[in-house]
Amino acid sequence: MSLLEVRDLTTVFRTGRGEVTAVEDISFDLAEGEVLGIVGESGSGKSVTALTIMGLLPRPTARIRSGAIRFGGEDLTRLPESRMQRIRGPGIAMVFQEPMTSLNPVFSIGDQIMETIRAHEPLSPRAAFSRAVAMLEKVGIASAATRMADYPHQLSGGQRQRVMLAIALVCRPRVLIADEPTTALDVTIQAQILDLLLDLRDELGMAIILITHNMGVIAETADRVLVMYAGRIAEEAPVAGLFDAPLHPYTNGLLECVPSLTEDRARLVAIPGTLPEAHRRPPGCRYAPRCPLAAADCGHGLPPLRALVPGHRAACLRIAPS
Amino acid sequence: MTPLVEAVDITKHYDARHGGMFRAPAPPLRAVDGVSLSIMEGETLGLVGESGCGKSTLGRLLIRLLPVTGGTIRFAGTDISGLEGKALRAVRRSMQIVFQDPYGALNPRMTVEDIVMEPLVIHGAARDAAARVAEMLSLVGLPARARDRFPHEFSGGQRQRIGIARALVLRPKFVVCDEPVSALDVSVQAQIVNLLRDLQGELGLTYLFIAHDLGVVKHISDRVAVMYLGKVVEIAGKASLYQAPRHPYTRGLIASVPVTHPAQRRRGAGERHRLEGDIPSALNLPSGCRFHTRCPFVIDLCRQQEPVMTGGADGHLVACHRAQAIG
Repeated sequence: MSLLEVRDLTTVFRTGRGEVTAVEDISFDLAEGEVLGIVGESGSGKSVTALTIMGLLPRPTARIRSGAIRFGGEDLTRLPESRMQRIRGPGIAMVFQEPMTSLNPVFSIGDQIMETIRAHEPLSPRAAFSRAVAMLEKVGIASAATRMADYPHQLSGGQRQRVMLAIALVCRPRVLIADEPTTALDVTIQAQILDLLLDLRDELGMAIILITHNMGVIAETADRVLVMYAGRIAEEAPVAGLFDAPLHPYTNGLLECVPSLTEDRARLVAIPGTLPEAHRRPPGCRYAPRCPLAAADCGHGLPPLRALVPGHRAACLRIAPS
Repeated sequence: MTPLVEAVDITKHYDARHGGMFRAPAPPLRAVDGVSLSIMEGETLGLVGESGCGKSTLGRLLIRLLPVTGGTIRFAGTDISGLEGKALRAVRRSMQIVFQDPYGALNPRMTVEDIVMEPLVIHGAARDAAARVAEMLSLVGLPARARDRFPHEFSGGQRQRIGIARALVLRPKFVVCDEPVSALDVSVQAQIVNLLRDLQGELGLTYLFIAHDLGVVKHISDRVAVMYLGKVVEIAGKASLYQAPRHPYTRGLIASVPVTHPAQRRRGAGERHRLEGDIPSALNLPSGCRFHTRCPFVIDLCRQQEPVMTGGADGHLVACHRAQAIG
């Protein structure tokens, strides 16, 4: 029984050129305590997937056209906003890419953590304070009790991301969605934050959806991986299977084009072309115009996501089941 | 072989704030604090370090986009650190820069042709300009019909090609590439890196390649310099630097790069030489070795005395009191 089930989810945005599909027909499960990596480039739909689950889509620009998000016996797509507010925090919490803009500059970090606690639980100010201090210690902020009075501008980027994690985790969510949590940080700080995320997962037992464009971050953290391209799932696999035997040509390209520290190559293997914009997607497989394996039938109809190896699904006509 | 670009003990200090009438003036922010290095003709020197370490400032100093506070910059043997006016403009023809942000670096109201032609006009080389622009566009892999279009009609990777065309149209000798691929999608990064390499071979360019991605820097560079808080702490040929880093900071940086396969994960205390803490403020530099606050090998000497760059005949230089001991 999975903790979170996403079924046939489609999210559309209204634009000057008509409705465009940001996320199309995606389905996946998230198990208790699991780290699910979602990897894709800009425009792949990975962040919109997260915002859809959180019920934070910009309205009225965006809407869920179809599908279900089942969590704790309820379908989140049908809940009223008041009920959704009770789920954000103790049920599902989120950290964003920009630790600079996600914190309110005019409140101390202590106020911002305590606000979250007291929005969900009837704690006294004193109890909320000590709970906030304990959480700050847990995310690795030294001398936490005195730092409670600090304002966001007094903290470094890495510390702000730690505070964002404290706010997200202080209500003990069962699912944490982390959207590019380390993209704005230096590699040394990225390594610290990824270690911290995994330590907190072990300690608090929540499941994590980790959204990233970086295959290295996936290799470091994920148990299972979804690869998204132009709004659809291209491949889904356990992390070892994905890196050992990627099935989709796009996944292969993503793995090949990253220069490695351990081997030297005369030339990088580049994927030709660019991602199609949402209103100019090709008919048929969306990767076909860039794909080295594309044949005539790739241009007709979307390839279905099929289990080609047990537990390993890919949406590609050119790959035969083994 | 003589270096094409040579920096001798260059500094760039910014006045932090006025002290006020009765207060002592505040110490300056030392963005670049005594850097010496040379770049040989035809080579690519990679420059890495965390944000705020001064790597972009150093790149801009070398091409005189910013004036130095102290020290000497030589270009092809000539001291250019004090040049002004016409003489400065004349050397600038030979030194260009490719910026990180392909969205902000191009004027949205100019066509691609005007953007790429502008350097020719500024330097009075407008004869055959249209033909030179067309040639340049094809060299960077843009179709001829791109000429009359505007930057917003292009993807990030295509815009970076426009920025490269603009930088190279004057046929410079030396190009500073300041994080040229870090704003791009990974599938497009490789295209631009390959393009920069091809152009280097074709046009005989010398690069300073600034990036925070150690993998990309390793791929494109011949030698790599590592900066920390305004100083170069280690410089070496890339094989030597990546296989046998001598500075604890370089080791920490390399250990922080995510693995390329999940089987290489190393979790738990002591498993990795990861760096603790954040980079200190350049307004308030630590005493002695500026890395001592984060260094796992720190001894008293490190807190008191700043280490100088030393090294052997192999050209691998390092500024660390403990480099021998921890070897």
